[in-house]
Parts: sequence; C-alpha cells; structure tokens
Amino acid sequence: MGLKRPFDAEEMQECNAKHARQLSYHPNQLDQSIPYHVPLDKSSVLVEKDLDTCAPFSWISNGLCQEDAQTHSSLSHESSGSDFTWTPLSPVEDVYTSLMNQPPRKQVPLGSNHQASIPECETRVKTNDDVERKLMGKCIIPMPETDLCVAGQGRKECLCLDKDTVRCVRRHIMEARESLIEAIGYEKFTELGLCEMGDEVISLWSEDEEDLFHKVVYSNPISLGRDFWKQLKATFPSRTMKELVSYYFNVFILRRRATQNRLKTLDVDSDDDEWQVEYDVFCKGKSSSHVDNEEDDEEEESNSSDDDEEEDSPDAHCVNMDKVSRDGEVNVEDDSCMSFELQDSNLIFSNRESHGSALFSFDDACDRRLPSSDCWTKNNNLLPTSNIMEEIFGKDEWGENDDNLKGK
Amino acid sequence: MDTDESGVSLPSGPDGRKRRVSYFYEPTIGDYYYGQGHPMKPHRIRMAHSLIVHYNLHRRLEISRPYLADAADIGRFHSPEYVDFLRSVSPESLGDASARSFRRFNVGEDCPVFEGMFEFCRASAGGSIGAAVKLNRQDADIAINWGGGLHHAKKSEASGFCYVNDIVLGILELLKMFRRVVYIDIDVHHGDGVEEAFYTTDRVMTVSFHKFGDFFPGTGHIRDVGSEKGKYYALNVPLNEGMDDESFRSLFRPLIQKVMEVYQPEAVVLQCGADSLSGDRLGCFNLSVKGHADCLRFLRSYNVPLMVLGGGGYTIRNVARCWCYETAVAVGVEPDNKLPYNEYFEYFGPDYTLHVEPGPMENLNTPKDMEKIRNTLLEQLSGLIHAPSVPFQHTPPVNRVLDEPEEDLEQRPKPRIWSGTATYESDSDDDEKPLVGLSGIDGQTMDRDSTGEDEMEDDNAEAEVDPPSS
Repeated sequence: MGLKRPFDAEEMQECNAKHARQLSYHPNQLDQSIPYHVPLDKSSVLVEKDLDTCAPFSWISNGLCQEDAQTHSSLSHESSGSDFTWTPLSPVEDVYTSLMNQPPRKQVPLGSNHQASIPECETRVKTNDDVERKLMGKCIIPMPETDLCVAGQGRKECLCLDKDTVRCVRRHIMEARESLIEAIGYEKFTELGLCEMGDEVISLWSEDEEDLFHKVVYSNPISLGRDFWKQLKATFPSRTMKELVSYYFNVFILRRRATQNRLKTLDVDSDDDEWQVEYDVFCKGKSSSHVDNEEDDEEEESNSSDDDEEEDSPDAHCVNMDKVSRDGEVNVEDDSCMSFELQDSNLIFSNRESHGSALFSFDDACDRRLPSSDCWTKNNNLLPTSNIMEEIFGKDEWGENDDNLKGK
Repeated sequence: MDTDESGVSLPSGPDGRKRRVSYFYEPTIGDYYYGQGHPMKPHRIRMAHSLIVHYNLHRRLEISRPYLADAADIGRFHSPEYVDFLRSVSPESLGDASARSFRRFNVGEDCPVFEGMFEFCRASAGGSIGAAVKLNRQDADIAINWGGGLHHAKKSEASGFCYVNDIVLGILELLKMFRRVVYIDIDVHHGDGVEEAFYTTDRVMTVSFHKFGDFFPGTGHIRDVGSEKGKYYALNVPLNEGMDDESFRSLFRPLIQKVMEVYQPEAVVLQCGADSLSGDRLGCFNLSVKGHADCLRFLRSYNVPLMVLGGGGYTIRNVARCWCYETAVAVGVEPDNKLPYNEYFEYFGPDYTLHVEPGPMENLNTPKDMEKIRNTLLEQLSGLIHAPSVPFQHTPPVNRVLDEPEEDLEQRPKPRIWSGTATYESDSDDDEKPLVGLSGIDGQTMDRDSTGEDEMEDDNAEAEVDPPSS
C-alpha cells in the first residue's frame, strides 16, 4: 500500500502484503489479468527468482505482451502464462533494464468489499421530507432572494499612523468583525463560528496560561524529538484538546506569522510547524496585545507608550515586531548578532546573546515544496518514472496498437 | 472580470448566469488536529470560511451547519466492521485496540487516530450528504462543502488522510434522484477511493486528473477504464509534474466537454483538492488559483446541478485563498485581489493578496504528451455512443448555457438546453428544441419530474408530482 509518506522497511513488508491480500485476481477479465506484485528489491524479481518461479515472469510477460508486446522490441511474443518460455531478443541486461522501466500497474480491487452498493433511482414521491430536512442540517443564513448585495470587496487603503503594524492590523480586524456583527447580528455571527476566531480566543486564556503555553511549546521542539502536545495536555489538564488546538492556530501561529511577515530578510515557510520565534518576541507580541486591549478601551490610538516599552525592554536585541514593521526592513545581524547556520536541511537561526535559549529554526528555508528527502513527499514503494509517457503508454509506440481503449 | 473565457467551440463569454448556492460549514472543524507535523490541517477550512465571510460572500449564499452523519449513514458505503472501528477508537484506546485492527483498517500512520476523529468524519460526511439533498430537492444549483472531498477512503479502510469517503456517500444520495452522475477530481492525487467504489457501474462516471508515477496512491493509469458494467466509465488523466494553467485547461476543457456530451450527466460532483496549486507542500503541479478555479467556472456554465467539495491542500494559506475564490466563482462574484481584513490576515502575509503567481517550475508535460493523452481519452469517450439507459433519440445533448453579462439583472433568461428529465415546452420531439431548465422562465421553479408527452423511455416510469415546496 502506498502511503502519502513512506514508511520503514519493516512496515513496507506488511503493507505490501496487505496490498497483495487486497487485490483480487480475475483471470476472466482480460483487462485485469495481471496480478500485482511489488518487488521490495527490484533486482530480486529477476535475479533471485529463477525461471522456474513463473509467477513474476508470467505477470511481466502477460502484462507486457497483452498491452505492449507489439511495441516492446526486447521481449519475445511467446507467452502463455506459466508455460511461458522467455527468449530474450537482446542481452539480458537490456531486457532487465527495459522490464524495470515498466513499473507494475496497481490494480483496482473488485468485490463486495470494495464497490459501493448502488441505490435505485427513486421518484420524488418516495422521498421522506422529514429525513431530508434533517440531512440538510441547520440553516444559519437563508438563501438570498436577490443578487443586489455588493460582495467581493477587499480592504481599503489604510490611513493609520502606525500603518501595517501588528497593532494596526489588529485594529482593522476588530473593526471588520464589529461591522459584520452590525450587519448580521450577534446570534448569526456566533452560529457562523466567527466568535472564537483569531485573537478573540485570547480572552479565553489568562496571561499566565499564555506564558505557560509558549514555554511548553518552546521547550519541546520537534528538532529534539519532543512532542509538545503531550506536554500541553499534561500542563493544562482542564483544557480540552480542542481548546488547545484553538489557541494554537488562533493565537500562537497567528503571532508567529505576524513576526515572519515582518522579517523581510528571511525566507520563511509559513507552513512549517516548527518555525520558532524567540520567546521574548512572543512576550512582546503577547504584552502588546494586552496593552492594545487596554489602550483600545481608553480609545487611545497613539503608540507612544508602546515606544517607551520597546526602549526599556531588555528584549531590544530581539526582533521587535512593531519596530520592524515601522522601519520596513530589519537588519537582523546588526540588531541582534544573530547568525545563520546550515545544519542538514535545517536553517538554524540562533541568537548569540545568552538571553534565552530558544532558537529560530525552520525545516525549509524557502516557501517551496519540501525537499525530496522529506518523508511526506516520496513514496518509496513505487518505482520511479524515467519517462512518464512510456509508463503510461508503453515504450516506443504510444498505444497505437491498443484496441482496449475503444468504447463498446 | 476574467477575460480568458474562450476556448470551446460553443458560444462563450463571461459566464453570468446566477446560481443559487448552498454552503455547508461546521464551526468546530478547525479545532480537529491530526497531530504534530501532519500536513492535513482542518484549520484551513476555517481560514477559508473567514475569508468568505469577510468578502461578504455570505450575502450571496445560503449557509448551513451540516447534520452530523451517523454510523448508519456512513454504513451506506463503508463496511460495518470498519464503521464500528472508527466509532470506537480513540487516542486513549491506542494501547487496548489490537495492532491488528490498526493494520487491517490502515490507521495509525498517514491516518492517525486523533481526538474527535469520528466527529470530524461525521461533519465531513454530513456536509456532502446535505449538499446532495439540496441538489436533489432543487433547493440549490450549486452546493459546497469544503469539509468534504476526502477521496482516498475505501470501503473498509482509511487511506491518504481520509477515513470516511464523504464523496461516495454524497454521490449515493444523488443517485436516488439522478440517473447519471459524473465525478471530476482535480486533486493532485488520483481519486482512487471514489473510482474504486463506482468502478463497476455506469451510473457514475469518474474522471480524475492527477500526477501519475512515483506518487501516491499509485493508481490512475490511463488504461484503468472501469470494469464490468462500468467499463469505459472511468477516465484517468495521468500527468507529470509542473502542470500549469494553460496546459491543464487544454486538457480539462475538451475532455470534460466530451464527457458532458456523451455521458449527459444529470449531476456533477467536483472535487477541488487544492494540492494541485503551485507551491503545495505535497503537490507538484503549478496551477494558480485562477487556473484551478477555471475548472469550476467551466462546469458552472453547464447549469447542471453541481456539488463542489474540498480535498487535499497542504499549504494552508493557499488552500484558503483557492476555496474562497472558488466560492466567489460559484456565486458569480469576482473578488478584489487585496484581501479584506479577517481573523487570519497574518497567515496571508507578506503580500496579503488573494491571488498567488505560479512559480518558475518546469512543466514536464510536453504539448506532444498532452496531445497524446487527450486523443487517447477522447477516443475512449467516443466509444460511448450514448449515455447508458437512455435511448439516444430522446436525449438532447447537454450543452453549455448561453452566456449573459454579469451586470444585467433585468435580462430575460435565454433558452437553456437541458437533458434528462427536463420539462418540455411543447410536444415536439425535436432534439434541437431548447428546453426549460431547472429554474424555468422568470425564475419560477419548475418541477423537474413533471413530464411532457415526449418523456424519454425509461425503466422507471416517473409519476407526475407536485413541485417541491420551497
């Protein structure tokens, strides 16, 4: 069985076996007469198994002869299952290579344990209205009667003095939420699931709890093989998993992204779960949000008090989110003596100052696909495709002799 | 407005016809978590939802919280042992449950047991079943469930991050009302679970565009065409890395047009897996959001009941962008590129825009390759002389709706051509005669099942019924 990420060799054995068990062999179906066989070690198919073991050979020859025989110059056309006498027309090595270039075709399993049971096409009379209403769920916003409402507008130009800072963005988000509540009412707002979203989730957590959350995450980095979720559950026994996950995506990651967005000198993978920001920076982010809340209550829009906070802060050497965003660019090395080190596929961004031991690190330096060594992208039990067209259509000719695709 | 709407031989232009769109969203979906480091993040659905609402698209949609499908609903496809397993297993029971069960049902690795897993499945399945019911009842023209589209799940096992195949369940619901359903899958991975489920029937045609070769799940060969009664009713479009907008469109449009012509589906299900977008963490295609959405745009223009589902997508900010944009396409709105302020605004930095340019990736699919693939598949489709169980002479072809400008709200509906159990305006047997579609003239809802004298022959005679109460 292929996985979206590969597994150990041990499990591979199991999965292949499982896959083999799954498949059904249907000698009567011309299209499906090929039993699937995935050699763990490709060479073992031809080298270790000799001609007496006909199965792999008959599979390969049947498969190729059936579909590609006339197009495959290196095999003889004489094949008849287990009676097959394989006479290479070219040196063994070439045949071996060409056989290896024809990966086995994974079959679609058939049987009562695979296909769905197709219902009869009923008439409207037979349908049960009560059942249907139940199945349609709960209507929150009814189908609109007109198309006259304006929709699709993006954000307007920001005219704030602290434009593009984290605080500015937060303010605008709050305004957007408030105007939405005004438009649709608080009840619908809640029913749409908009209540516990984004920074609003902070109100459900105390400052101490937030500090603790961040501490637990940073002291259990994945790079050290730790699982911070286990620790989080142990640290917050009264919190449900959903609450922890909610905080994680609505507050924790959001703040991290806010930092990443303002670090213009680094290419960041925003989907990297393990990208870590200096704890102090998060402190700043957290405290400024609480400061924000107080300031908003007082309707004070200036950020002068925030400025003072920054200069007095012992964290001045850290990347400061608001400062960064105001300046536009930050020269990380000047500010904080941080350096880049390449370690394996990780880019470790370490703060040489001894203030805190948390590291900047991310698996993938750039916002691209993960490198091929990453376990999520490769499928180790599938043979590589040297030429996909050959794989699809067979070598040389692209199915010109193939009558199988003609319709009924 | 998009200007590149051309490309088919039928009259084309901006697709302006309004559609009634029903959208399903489970508010707690974002709090389900597959596990540390796992690329599948249900939170992306919440991000999409936030964008959709802050773009004011909710003004153009019906929004429902889905019914949570129960074991009986899920058991309409999945085997009882598997459903019992899903229902009973939990992270705490990991020690108790036999390792054999985990292996048997393929749970534990790609498909980890996570807290609330069965509830998550119930919401996903409930959304797709609900979407199907909306279409069956003609309460909507398009029904969306971004929480669905989990196309790898099999009858008795989990696979590829999917546990319950909501798509199969949704299609089974549609099959109660529609004789032929076409399933189209644009996830970068082959839609194996759905194909397998319907491999032996001609009532569902499955079409999948996917990366093939050294890629999960390994099925989806061009020669997999179906079996038994379903032979030639499975279409597989195997592709190489680097698929771009233009190449994709050059395959999608002609093939789907042919599918619509020869198969004449009465309903369409489109799986919009967003891992075929450029820059996806697991994918290897190079589609832009617009290129991806062009598929939906094209299908929408047919005015056939359409179910739109989610699926893969592992660079979550792009998933949210894509599904938000596709929701806008469904309702007929072209949103601004500058994102509105929303709860997850920072996820979309540093550009904070809706559209993302494809990367400088090499397209390994040469024009010659694609021509070959296209011709092979068109030939396969040509073999389907007429749609199954429908005598040819009674079935007018499914065609694209003649286009209207978006802004013209005063328009008189142009005649629409519709196949299947449409209401005929006259007794004429003439295939060319335009038929009144689902909504009828002046927006009046017509009952699709009431028949004129030239109702096509069918095994199941359909009785005249009253129009559904709205």
